[in-house]
Amino acid sequence: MKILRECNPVDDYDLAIGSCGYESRGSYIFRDYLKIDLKCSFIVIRFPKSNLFSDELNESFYERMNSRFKPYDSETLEQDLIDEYVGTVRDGSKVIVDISTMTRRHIGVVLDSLERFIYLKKFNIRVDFYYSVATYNPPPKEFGSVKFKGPVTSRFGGWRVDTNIPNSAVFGVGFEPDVCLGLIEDIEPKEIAVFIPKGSDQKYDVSLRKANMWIFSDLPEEKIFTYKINDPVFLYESLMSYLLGTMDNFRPIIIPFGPKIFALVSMFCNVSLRPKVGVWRVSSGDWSAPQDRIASGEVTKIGVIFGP
Amino acid sequence: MSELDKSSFFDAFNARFLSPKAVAETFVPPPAFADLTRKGHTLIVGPRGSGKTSMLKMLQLGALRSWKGPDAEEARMVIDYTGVFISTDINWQEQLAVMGSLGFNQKEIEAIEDTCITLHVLKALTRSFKHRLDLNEGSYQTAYLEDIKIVHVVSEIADLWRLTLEIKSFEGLERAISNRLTSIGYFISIESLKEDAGRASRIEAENFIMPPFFDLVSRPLEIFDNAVGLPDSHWAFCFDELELAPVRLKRQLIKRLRSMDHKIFFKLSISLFAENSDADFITNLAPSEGDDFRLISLWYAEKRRTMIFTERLVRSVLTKRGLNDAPEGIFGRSFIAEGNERSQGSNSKLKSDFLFDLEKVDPSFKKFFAKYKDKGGQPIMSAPFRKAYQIALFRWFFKGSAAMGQKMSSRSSFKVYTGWDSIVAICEGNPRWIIGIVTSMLDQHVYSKKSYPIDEALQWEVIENARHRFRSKLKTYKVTELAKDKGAFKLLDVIGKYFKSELYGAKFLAEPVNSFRVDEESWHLYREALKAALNLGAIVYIPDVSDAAFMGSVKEKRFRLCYLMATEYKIPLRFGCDRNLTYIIKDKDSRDQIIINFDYNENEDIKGM
Repeated sequence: MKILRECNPVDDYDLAIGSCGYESRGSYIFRDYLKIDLKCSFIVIRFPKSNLFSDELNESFYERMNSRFKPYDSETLEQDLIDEYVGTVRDGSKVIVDISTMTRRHIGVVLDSLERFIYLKKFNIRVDFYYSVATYNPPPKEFGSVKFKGPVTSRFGGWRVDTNIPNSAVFGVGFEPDVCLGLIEDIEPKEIAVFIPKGSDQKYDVSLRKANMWIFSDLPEEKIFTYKINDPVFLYESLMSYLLGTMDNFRPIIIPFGPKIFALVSMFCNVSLRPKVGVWRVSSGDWSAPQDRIASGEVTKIGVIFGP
Repeated sequence: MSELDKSSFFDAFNARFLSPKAVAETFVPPPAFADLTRKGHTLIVGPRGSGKTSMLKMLQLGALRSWKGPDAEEARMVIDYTGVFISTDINWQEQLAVMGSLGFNQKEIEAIEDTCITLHVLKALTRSFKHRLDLNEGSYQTAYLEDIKIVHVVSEIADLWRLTLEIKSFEGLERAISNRLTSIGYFISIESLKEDAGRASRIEAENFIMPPFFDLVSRPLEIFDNAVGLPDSHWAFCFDELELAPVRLKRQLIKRLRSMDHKIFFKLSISLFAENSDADFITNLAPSEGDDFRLISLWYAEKRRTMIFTERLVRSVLTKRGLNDAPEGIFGRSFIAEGNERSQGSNSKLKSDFLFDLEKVDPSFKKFFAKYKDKGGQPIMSAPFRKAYQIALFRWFFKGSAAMGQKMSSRSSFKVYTGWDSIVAICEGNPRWIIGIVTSMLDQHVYSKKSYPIDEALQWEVIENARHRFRSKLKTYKVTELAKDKGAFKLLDVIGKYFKSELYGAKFLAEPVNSFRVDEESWHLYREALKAALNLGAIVYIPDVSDAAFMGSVKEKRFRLCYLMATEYKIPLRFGCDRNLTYIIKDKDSRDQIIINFDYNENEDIKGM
């Protein structure tokens, strides 16, 4: 896998992958941002239909694009995606993926499917990942009971050779109050690092600090890193640098809360360093009232070349 | 700088990743250690942080050789076997579970699972062989082998284990095992990208499958022991945190506990109700006549059982910092303990002024108090009244004083939870909590540059911090879909609020309910939450029969909140009457209402009781 330094949209994508739900930014990238006439095939991960916010709008858009919809909770989603790639993705193809409203699991499944497909076919393809930053919404006060915590997908679990080598935990922090703290007590890492996102809206910064103050107060400065949401290449380099520097003595587990661009880059690191790094997700189910996440206009993107 | 010096607050003394030498640096044997050291199968159960890992690690040669404490020599005399420590962790289960979702069939999964477990055990055994021959670590259990004999022994063992060695030494053997494990990881990683068809023959072609470790350790042990001239040696395989291990391994090991081997025995540790456990498989496991294993349980319902151990452990921490005072000199006496002492004995000055203040604003207490006054109107410190004394103290502290117009801010009310006696209670004999809390207090006190005892406000801040971390852990404990509204955190909050309402309700109760019994209905509804709470130490078993070991069946058993959680609800650090959990849960709505009226707020207009 090779990370591209520059990622500019092209007008001849062969395939677009997105997700469709009630968030209005769900179709923002393809519908409004790119300003190119996408004539490619569309595969869309479909959340349950609802009457909320922009669900109908998003669905209408994707239907106009003749999308093939895949249920969000399909147990065979990876294979379903691979089946769709056949006939659409060839050696040298260009794929565009909008991760804005995907879950971390979906992002992992999409990566798994692309990786597996190109391995079997021995193709080289370019994949551009886009992420639309939402306008600020106040975070929920409570994080619901945890339903799932573990590797994003099975391939992101990593592999441990020596159980005496301690875990290290690398958090991409988000709003979830005290969840990082609880996970520290759970994973019992000997080394901790946190990556704090910096976007253009300072309201996010304030909420992040508040939700994670118990960690920040006790962690030494050299373990706290910031990253710009709109520079995922630099984030990849920073994260890889940290992992390579600590991997000999620790067994890293990355837990990416916060912007999904961090989750995506974490998974890139896992692919690059497999099987030595784990990437986890924590899911709390749906406890809070649905909220629309509206595109702020700020978009970040990163392109990779996948090869066998 | 030692490994402990480098540990951060977040380590909270987790022995899992400490070397045996580092564990030995501050090891103070808890009451259960003597039982553990005895030859034979042992099963240790207890919540996380209760010292299981430390105790098992102390059975390793590296720890026993470097241990310098007063009990060290005695332990070395008793432990005449070699401990082989095998750790598991949260990744093991995840790693091996991966294969199921990557399309491996059940037979393939079991074969690779057995192989990986075997390799981890063989690696631990190889390390133990190395330690036995290490002449630099001291003479305890040291064996000697000439270099040429080492080559023969290693070669013979490698043949049995079907490993190819680059270097014929124990280091080479360990490296070969690591290489085999690494290659399996890469194989699974690549295999996950391939089609399922043909997998069985690809696995066979790799030639790495190994049988369960039980089949592969006996002969190497004989080879080694015969070579060093100690054919009758014994070996203890110590499996830690079994709740994180694959289910099949757990079952196999538990089965072995009921059998005898002339050379090998097992010491197993487990948190009973693991998050990822698919069955409470040892719920009905109890040592019975004819069984040859010992059960050690690490729940301590009463403070007195943990007092001596806690003091010894804290003294060792203090000594390392050059502090030779008794813990009471460092942390001060507890307000409650002082009050209790003063309440005893007719000639001592009683801390009883508050009782008269309380009766002025609390009619129900006044009625109760009247029964325990002498002719002069002074309290008679009979046994029943002494029991109620602490209840009255809390009630005055958190409710009565405000009604009197004596503004007891939340910062002042911490007095009831600070001081040495309270710290002992709050730490529950849990070494991780003891060291975490005490170390934090000492570290922060150093920055303050004040003299001892440590300021009560600082102590309270550390306790609140520890409680917050613990609550976070409860919040992130995984629940199943069925239990989504019934997580441990919410359940304990309901219980805590109930106990709080008992203490601070309209009517003074000399013996308020502050423990609960798990009845059939509540067990059925809150099974997951109770298991989580028990596993994490958030609830503590109170045996009906003194010293009865907790054996896993939660139904009809009595529990209290751990004292760390008790501070959240302003309830005393002791347990009293119990009530069925179903009643407590069903009554929560009315209790919540009372609590809303109660909470002290400096800005609130308190109109009295």
